[in-house]
Amino acid sequence: MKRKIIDCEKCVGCKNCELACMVVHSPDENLHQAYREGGMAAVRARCKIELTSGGRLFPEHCRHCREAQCLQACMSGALSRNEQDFVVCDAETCVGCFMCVMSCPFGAARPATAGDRVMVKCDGCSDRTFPACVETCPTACLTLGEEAGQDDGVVYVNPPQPREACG
Amino acid sequence: MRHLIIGNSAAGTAAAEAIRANQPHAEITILTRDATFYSRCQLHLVAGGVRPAAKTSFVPEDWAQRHGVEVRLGWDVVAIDPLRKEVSCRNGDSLPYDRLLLATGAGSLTPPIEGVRGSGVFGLRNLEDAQGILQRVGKSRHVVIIGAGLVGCELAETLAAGGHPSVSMVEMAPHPLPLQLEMTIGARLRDVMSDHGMAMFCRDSVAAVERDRAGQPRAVVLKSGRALPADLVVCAAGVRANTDLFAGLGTIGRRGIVVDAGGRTSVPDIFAAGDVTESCDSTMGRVMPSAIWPAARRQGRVAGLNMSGGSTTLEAHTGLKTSAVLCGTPLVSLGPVFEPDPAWRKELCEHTDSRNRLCSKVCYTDSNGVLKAAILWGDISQAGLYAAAIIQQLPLGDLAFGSVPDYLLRAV
Amino acid sequence: MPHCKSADTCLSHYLESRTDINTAFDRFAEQQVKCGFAQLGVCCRLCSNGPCRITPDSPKGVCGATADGIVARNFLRMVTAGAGCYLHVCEATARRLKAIGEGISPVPIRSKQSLDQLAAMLGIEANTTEEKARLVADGVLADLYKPRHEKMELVQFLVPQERLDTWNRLGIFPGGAKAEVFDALVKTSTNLNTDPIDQLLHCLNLGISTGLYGLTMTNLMNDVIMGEPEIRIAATGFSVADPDYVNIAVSGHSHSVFAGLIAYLETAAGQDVGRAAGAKGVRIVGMTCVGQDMQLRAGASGTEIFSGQAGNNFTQEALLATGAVDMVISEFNCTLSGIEPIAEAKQIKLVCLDDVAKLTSSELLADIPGQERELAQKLTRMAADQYRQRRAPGSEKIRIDLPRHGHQDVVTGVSEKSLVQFLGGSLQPLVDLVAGGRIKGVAAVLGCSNLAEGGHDVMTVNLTRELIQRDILVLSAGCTTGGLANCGFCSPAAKDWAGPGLKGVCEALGIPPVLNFGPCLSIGRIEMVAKALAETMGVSLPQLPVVISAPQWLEEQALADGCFGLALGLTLHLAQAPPVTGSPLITKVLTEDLPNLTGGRLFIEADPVKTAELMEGIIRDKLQALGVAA
Repeated sequence: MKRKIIDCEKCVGCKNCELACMVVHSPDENLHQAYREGGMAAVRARCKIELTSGGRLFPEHCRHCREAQCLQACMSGALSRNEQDFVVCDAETCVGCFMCVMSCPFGAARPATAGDRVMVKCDGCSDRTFPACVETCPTACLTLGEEAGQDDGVVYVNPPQPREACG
Repeated sequence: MRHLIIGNSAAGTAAAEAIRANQPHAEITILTRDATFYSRCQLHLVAGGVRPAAKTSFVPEDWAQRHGVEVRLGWDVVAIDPLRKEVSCRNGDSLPYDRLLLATGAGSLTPPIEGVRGSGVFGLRNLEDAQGILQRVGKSRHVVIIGAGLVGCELAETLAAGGHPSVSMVEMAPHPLPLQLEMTIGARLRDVMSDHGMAMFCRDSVAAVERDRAGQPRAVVLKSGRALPADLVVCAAGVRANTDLFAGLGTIGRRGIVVDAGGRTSVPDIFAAGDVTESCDSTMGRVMPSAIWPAARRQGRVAGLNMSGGSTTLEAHTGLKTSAVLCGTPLVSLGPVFEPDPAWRKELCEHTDSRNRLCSKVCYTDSNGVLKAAILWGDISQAGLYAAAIIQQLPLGDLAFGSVPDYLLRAV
Repeated sequence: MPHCKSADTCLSHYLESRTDINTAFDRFAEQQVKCGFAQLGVCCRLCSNGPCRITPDSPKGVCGATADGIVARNFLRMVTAGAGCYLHVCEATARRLKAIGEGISPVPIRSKQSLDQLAAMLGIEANTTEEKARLVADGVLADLYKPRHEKMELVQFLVPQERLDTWNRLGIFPGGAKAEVFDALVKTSTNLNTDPIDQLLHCLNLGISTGLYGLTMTNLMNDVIMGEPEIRIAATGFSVADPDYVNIAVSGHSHSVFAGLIAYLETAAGQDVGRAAGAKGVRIVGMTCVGQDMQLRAGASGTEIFSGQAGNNFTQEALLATGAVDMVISEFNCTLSGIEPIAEAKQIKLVCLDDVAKLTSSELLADIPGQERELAQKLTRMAADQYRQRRAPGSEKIRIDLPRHGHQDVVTGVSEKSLVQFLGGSLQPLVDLVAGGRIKGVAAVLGCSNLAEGGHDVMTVNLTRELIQRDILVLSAGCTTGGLANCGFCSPAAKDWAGPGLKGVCEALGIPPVLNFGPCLSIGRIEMVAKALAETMGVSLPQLPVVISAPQWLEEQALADGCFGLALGLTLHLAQAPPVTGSPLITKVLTEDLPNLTGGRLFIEADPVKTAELMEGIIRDKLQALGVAA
């Protein structure tokens, strides 16, 4: 299976990945509709570029972990692993208890910021041939490829280092 | 191999899934008193009429078929014979087992209060409780909820949000969610709940439930002397592990069946998982109940793996993790915030974000800067990072809103 | 911590205690991840084929524009907007002076001496004061309204001949200022000018009209209308607001817009309006640059009714959150939209006197020359009504939480004239101090404040501390001054933070090591000081042992100011690069080639210690070149 490869050194923080993610998860899947009144808040991006305490950019994407803690924590049955091996959320079933949010050690499960009280997370763009974030990344920070050695659905390359003081 | 699981909630189903993953051909049978699969975390929604009982199943309809599990609904196990390795049921049938899992959960604790037993007073632990409340609540004029823990608060909020005109809560502690919140956030929640129409009686407790001539509740009398009119009373003042089946067979602690990190009881081939057990909490370093869904699922999974030939231990186990949304505000509590070590440093970090939402974080750290406990109010997006830092005994760095903790970078 | 920090620790603590308000300090954290393309200036949004962003894989826009072309175009647009802003203030001031001269506006002329000097400088002669005022204003307006092919005339009186020659050689001597702004916009539109050098020269052209008209002429005309700065002691900080008074906070850049209000509040009738509402009277509290201008001229106008300057641009949300202000009058920029929800929560009336600065929730009142008195009465009544409502029973939610903040002994009122007067009639004593080695040089730390560069005023304060420790006298104008004053640098006690040489000078003269010129408009005054210094020393502006820094520049006007400095041939420091670094060509011209063009130079350095070292080195080199041993 092709996995998302994230080369942190190539991230320039343009947030195109976030924007694309918001757009494909918006009702019309259309950029110019996505930001219209009320639209933007409801379709929170599933990925996020974070700034490390060392001042580096860190694209935070769901790993679709082998042992997904969010999946274990779900009490409504909304979260499941689909045929493409992505952990996905059924918004109709989700009751917004947010136990997944407090259980994901990466912060990749998050509450929706508006609209129904549900969690949102990366669905791997299961119904698209190419994840939207990868498609719109202008610097090839996000690519798809075969990368051995890691069990999860996402591979990080050149990740920022933690600060010495804490290590 | 024949696996018998008593209980079809979080731990029971997780165990069945784990066994099936290990042993494609083993026989797995679930015996349960319940008539359906339902999520206990959603009972307040059923009681408040927000969600029909039928929609509270946490497994897909074809779950049993997909995992090859025989599910016997409505089967009430009354005894276990560990020597003959069989269980007997109320209907007279006996079933043999090679491995047995007790995932019988916990039931409401009925406090020793005068007049508490009888019509019109409910616990909220089973679907029947929720349906009983739902039937009555429409006609009820005054609801009193005893205990402002998570169950009580969620029910109160659901009823108040649904338009019930009189919902009162009685809580011994100074604020609601005493196990999950400290004074500052607790007092804020109390005020917010009051603002949302719930009458909050904190630092008080119920002395008696008064009943009318027909034997129906009429009022609740508090220790302070105040009397609250009440025609529907819900006891949400704690739970008791359903250990009766195990009594006389093996070791039961103060709070539940004693198990090792692999889910084994003191009796060979009998395992236990979920709310029926007591276990050592990683964040406290001592035995605590772990009455939360994710913990039960993880325990069930470990027990299931070990029942089917695996050798797994449950690491970093805690039940001191709570998430809730009350009166529109999401909040998460992590670790022993109700009993912080006096040597820990407490820090309150607050701001109002662009959605005009007050966001607070209360963090407790030890002298090495390791995060020990935390409360998040308003913005809980990073709750998982905080929880992981507590479990893995890591410092959180500068607690900045929106920044990446160093431990996460190490985990990449 | 959630909050961005301020160098002003009292303000920092106050903001942290006020978790109930959302301010720029909160939003700065939320806005942390920045778009790299925007920071580099290599995103073009000018046509429907775009937006185009330049990357190694896509080095040209769809139209063929290179990174240099896109950056130059974007930069010129920013400078154009900035120039337009200052020119708007200049135009408004000239129109007021003209209305006064024509006898339409009842506003008094506070300094006839200033008018005489200005008229003399511009070669204008007239029989009466009014006639003189009208002719000066007409001259300025005529220049502003000239077409682009007609050069501005008054410029030549304001700069040394050597500069005029340089500008003519480069072809950047401006035509009519508004026409230059207009054509700069044309030039930067879709598929027009693609020559980055031509666009950069246009930036310098706009810098010249910004500096000479937007800054200097505005100052000189405001001196006529509002009076001349006098060196005096005043208070700054939130503590200047006294909740026993009706407090009107002012925000913007156009001092003379308030001429009518100040005159009215100086009368007993004006104060009675406040007393009738139950207050002790009515006061004006300075907020942003127009407050700095009032502070500067408070020796001549509004002496009794101006409470003092509360703080700079990013303190306004906190100031309003104190609850001590009843009404805000804005007439120009640096009025953050972030004050609107706070004003709503605290029931603070927002009034705007110029639609260019209209906030969504502010009430726009027409400021018509000739109706200043009526407007002043109306504004005073509105403020008094607001005071009464805010203190009426049932308005308990409007809690006043005013921290002890600021300094009581800030030396203000420094101008190109008052400084010369203070030094005994010429700048020679200052030259002697530098030549004699008592102080190592003069640096200007001016411009805005931002929340970048380590936090609010952090770079400004750290750089200033480093400079004065090195015995470099600092002149300051703009929000930098507001921040420095609130951090104690403009009080006499700040001498103890200076090096031994500068400290001795401060003690001998009784001055702080940072001279407070007031608002950002006074960048024009500092450049007049530079011109006077050059004349005193008999050198050209590029030779002058002076460096300027806009350590925490914020916006487009600052970039236009910066272009003025570069056109004058001065060395300019910025802590944060403007969005030009995506263009190798523009970066090279600004930082390397400019010395051969105008004599000016730009350098970027974010570290305060390194910056101070570099500035010290530049001053030393220039002194050595002049044969003065450092």
